[in-house]
Amino acid sequence: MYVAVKGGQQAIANAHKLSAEERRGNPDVPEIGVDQIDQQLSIAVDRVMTEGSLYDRQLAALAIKQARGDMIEAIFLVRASRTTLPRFGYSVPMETSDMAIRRRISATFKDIPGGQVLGPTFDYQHRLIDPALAEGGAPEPAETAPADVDAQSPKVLGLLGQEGLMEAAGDGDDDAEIGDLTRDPLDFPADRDLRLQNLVRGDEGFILSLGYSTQRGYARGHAFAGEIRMGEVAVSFVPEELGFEIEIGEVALTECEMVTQFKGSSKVPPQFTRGYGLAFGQCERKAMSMALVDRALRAGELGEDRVAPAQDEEFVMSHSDSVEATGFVEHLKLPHYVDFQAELELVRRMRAEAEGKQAGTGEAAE
Amino acid sequence: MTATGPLPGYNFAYLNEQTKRMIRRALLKAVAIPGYQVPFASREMPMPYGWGTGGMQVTASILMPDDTLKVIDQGADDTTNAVSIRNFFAKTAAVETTTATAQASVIQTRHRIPEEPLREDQILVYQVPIPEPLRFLEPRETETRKMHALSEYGLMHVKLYEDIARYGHIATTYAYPVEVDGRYVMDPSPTPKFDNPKMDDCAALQLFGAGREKRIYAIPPYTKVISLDFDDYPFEVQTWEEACGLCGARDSYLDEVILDDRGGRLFCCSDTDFCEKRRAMGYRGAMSGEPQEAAE
Amino acid sequence: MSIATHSADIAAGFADPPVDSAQVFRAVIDAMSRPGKVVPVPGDLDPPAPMTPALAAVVLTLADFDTQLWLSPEFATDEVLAFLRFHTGASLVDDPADAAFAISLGREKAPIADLPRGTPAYPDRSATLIVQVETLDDDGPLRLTGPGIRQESRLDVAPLPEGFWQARADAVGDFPLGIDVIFASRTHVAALPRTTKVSERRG
Repeated sequence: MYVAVKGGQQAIANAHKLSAEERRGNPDVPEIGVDQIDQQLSIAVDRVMTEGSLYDRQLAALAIKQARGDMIEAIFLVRASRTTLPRFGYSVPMETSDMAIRRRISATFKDIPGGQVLGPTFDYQHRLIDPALAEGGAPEPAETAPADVDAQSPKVLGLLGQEGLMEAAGDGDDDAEIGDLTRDPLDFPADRDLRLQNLVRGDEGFILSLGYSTQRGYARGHAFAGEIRMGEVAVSFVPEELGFEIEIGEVALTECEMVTQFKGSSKVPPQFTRGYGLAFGQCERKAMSMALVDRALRAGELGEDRVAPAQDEEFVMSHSDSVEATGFVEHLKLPHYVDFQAELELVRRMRAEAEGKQAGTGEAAE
Repeated sequence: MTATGPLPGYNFAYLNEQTKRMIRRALLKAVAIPGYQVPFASREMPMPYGWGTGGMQVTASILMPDDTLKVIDQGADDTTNAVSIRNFFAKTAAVETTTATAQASVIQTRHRIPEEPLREDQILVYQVPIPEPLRFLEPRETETRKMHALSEYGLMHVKLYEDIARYGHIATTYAYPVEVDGRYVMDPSPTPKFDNPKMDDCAALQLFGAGREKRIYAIPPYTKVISLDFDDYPFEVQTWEEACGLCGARDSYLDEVILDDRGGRLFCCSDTDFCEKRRAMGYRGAMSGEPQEAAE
Repeated sequence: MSIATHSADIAAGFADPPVDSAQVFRAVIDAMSRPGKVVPVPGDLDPPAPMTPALAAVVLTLADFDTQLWLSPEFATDEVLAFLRFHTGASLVDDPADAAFAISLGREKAPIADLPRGTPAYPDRSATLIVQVETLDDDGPLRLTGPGIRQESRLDVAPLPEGFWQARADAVGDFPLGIDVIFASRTHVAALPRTTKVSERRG
């Protein structure tokens, strides 16, 4: 007698247990702590916060631990957690020009007011695996300069703007309502606010490759890194009952402003145009890629021909989200017996028909 | 905000109330405009996109504590994803669950409509992967939206007609497009076309949720649902020469199970509840291991 | 929050919001799915006059700070405004063309012609009119047909202003554009989605 496959319930429970065991690994090895992930895998935490759309280091670190280091899985965990959080209000727009700078570079000018600050970067490191690191130990302390409390670090693109060579940032309409991808479903054509939100949440690898494609001729324009800055920015909020602004904390941000030459159009004189990137923490690759893709997606607004994938907002925005993408790709693991049965029946029927026809022609030829 | 659901730390049925209200407003519009895909701000659920998050968000937004929930995948209550979703709502909404179609007030489904006719006091919630019936003919949302606005469904008819020209019949076997109440062409979700006739004039409310694609749509009860076809090539459903090997049914959708590597096969009802109920009534199929004494 | 200091004057909302609103919603979607069906609305709200418990339950279930409400002059008493502001946080609009939900009393003229009906691409971007009435009965002079209705259903709803049915017919004449209507009595709701055809049968 045939008994249909059963036991999904038990199988799931066992798989969960096995997965937890695998996550822990060999119990003789000390368990990794959330604090250790937060402090020692900080760039992983930054990425999970950025693409997870939630600034919470401990939660992101826990998600990384739970996901066994699978970044997309960790981002997914943070997003699902975010779903359950009610919204209390909106912060005042953050002022990145008031950033407490830890890193700031410009590739367009040798020196800039406020100076170039290399900060904690992999740039210029020889990527040689360091056997000594396997042993651990305290790193050599870095030199520090006395803090210059009066130091001003104006935006580099603002300096270009004084000459009239740089387009203004944004459309200048501060009162315009800002869209929210997480509250309103995406709708095309999408304005820049929504495009930027989509790119921030987008998968770093996907955005990186798209940005890269714009450098290889799939969308015209050579971009310059006008300014990249990383550091802490204050977040302020106006509680309804107080009616005035209070500072509720600070977040670490990486901001990238790309500069691209623009030949001008019937409406706009020749000038430099902007591409903008922003991410939580130290996500420089993401911020730079985002800025490139942002600029490419502005093709319509600037009257450029849309010829490349990175300029196609429906293509980019509909496929950038790693949580959406991984879910749908991985859903192919789910059973499809019913549809497959329907296809099986169809293919059998078509084969039988085809064979019938062939047999028919064969006889006729004889 | 304190959460008051059965699962500590989470709201009743997982979603917060703002989210449920947003989905409920979309559901009412969907019912008022049968077959039209209402955009909604789909949320990340604790299950991956493509695994039923749209259906789950709809279910979470309609569920009451005294509901009885049935969840099926491929017609079966015991497939792993159905088990997982059923457990999720048992945990977060503390609703009663069942595998019996007749006992359920809400049925969430992937890829099938139960064989047993649904009643007025039941709601069927479909999980939908790609809600846009025109998507594989036209990948751009801006274009397909225009086509729906103008009732411009020629492309779909051309596709079906090309099938006929090439194969002598329509080669779409599941997710077979339907026209709802004489207006919108709608994707029935990847149910086999065998199930399409059950959507027509159905006593139950049918709700469709596509989480990743962020669309909700609906068919109100007693609404005309027609499978697209041509006068000379009328719509027809799948049929089998075999009967269910377990319960002997000849009128249900059959799954094919490979028994061995010598070509041994079993055809059995994809709707496990339907099959079990028949067997409980004494019906037997050829491979049930018992004499086939039909109860009729 | 500061508004909470006035809450002593404001009638209570749902005792158990997740459960109460789920039950109310099922009543509303049942009504919208089966035009003409008069459905009891569970709950024991005691809202300020002239709002009835059923109407208050519907609004608390559907409205929040993402929705715009338009209220008719007779309905919009100070107490009603305070109640809705406190429990829903919905923004109140002066122009019916901005409303997601428009609420009026049955004896008042509702601004049906001015309500948004959506666009051909987005017919869902349209308003729902909620009318508070005294009589709601599923047997009456109105004959309803359309999706959700097996053969035909009957409805008696009163009071309604002169010209209501003509204005509603005009608003839904260009499907899929249109408005949807929810009637709320003291304890029950009934609904007319834009797809429902209404004819009056006298005698």
